[in-house]
Amino acid sequence: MINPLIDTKAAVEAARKFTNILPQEGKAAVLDHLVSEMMPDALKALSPEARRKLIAALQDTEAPRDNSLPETPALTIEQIKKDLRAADCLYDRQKIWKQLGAGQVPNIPDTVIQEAHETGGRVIFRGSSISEQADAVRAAGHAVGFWGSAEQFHYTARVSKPEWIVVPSHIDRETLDSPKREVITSDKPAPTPEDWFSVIAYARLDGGRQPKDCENLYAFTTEDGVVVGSCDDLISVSRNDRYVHDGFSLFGAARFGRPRN
Amino acid sequence: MENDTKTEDEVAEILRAIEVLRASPELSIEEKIEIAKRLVSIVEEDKSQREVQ
Repeated sequence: MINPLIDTKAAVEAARKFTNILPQEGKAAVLDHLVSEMMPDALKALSPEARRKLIAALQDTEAPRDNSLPETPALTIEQIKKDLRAADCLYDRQKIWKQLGAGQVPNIPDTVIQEAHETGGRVIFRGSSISEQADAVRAAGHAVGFWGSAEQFHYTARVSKPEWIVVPSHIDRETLDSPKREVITSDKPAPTPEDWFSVIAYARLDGGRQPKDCENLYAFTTEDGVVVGSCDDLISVSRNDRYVHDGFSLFGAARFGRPRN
Repeated sequence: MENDTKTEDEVAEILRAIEVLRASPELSIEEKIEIAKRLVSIVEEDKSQREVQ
């Protein structure tokens, strides 16, 4: 198995030679590494001409999609009920059920999630701004976390200022500029949107108890025994500005549980 | 100052577009890799040109 994370040339070579035979994880690693060339500082160092070329190349890829996100039908209360039953957990579930019982579309949670939409068979919560989401998480007494790639971190950290982050082991921690943050290393890929609902459904952690199949749920235990994970307090997609925070990029999350003795 | 702002805007636009690309459910990961390779080649070419200069 090649290691596409050695350097960018290796990643390009891997992409050229091995893309067809690499497992999905390997492909994702190659993609991650290629994209890591596009860090803010590196982009700033480019010539204006090169930046324009990049923008043009990226616009080419966006053109078929019209740069706009598809309109998604609002979830009906029945759909939400069905999903809630399937999920068996969500933020302040009793309150949500109460709202549903009153025939209202619930806010989940009030200050953060404004609408629920269904796309492609999965539920996505449309959130407010990242900073509002982060503030809401803190207001609920949790630390804000981030789990994603380094380049995503650079964007989200500017506004969400997470207290803890999960980064792949190959990321140079200094680049994350996080002296006051708890840095957790995990080579497990950050959750994708497709993982979310499973995560919401099953990652309800109870007093630090690790859920079954946590590998698949992207919940894990840190070295000090604290279970952290994807949370049901805040999982959102911000789709209001073309900047798609699709799960892995913004992962505002609470810290669960207590250290296990 | 104006140039700095323009650069920041361009960088932000590139980062946004990359995020859209990465999150796109319409492209396979192989297609995304191909696009990323094109982007890297632009970066590499620019680096080479500046080294020559």
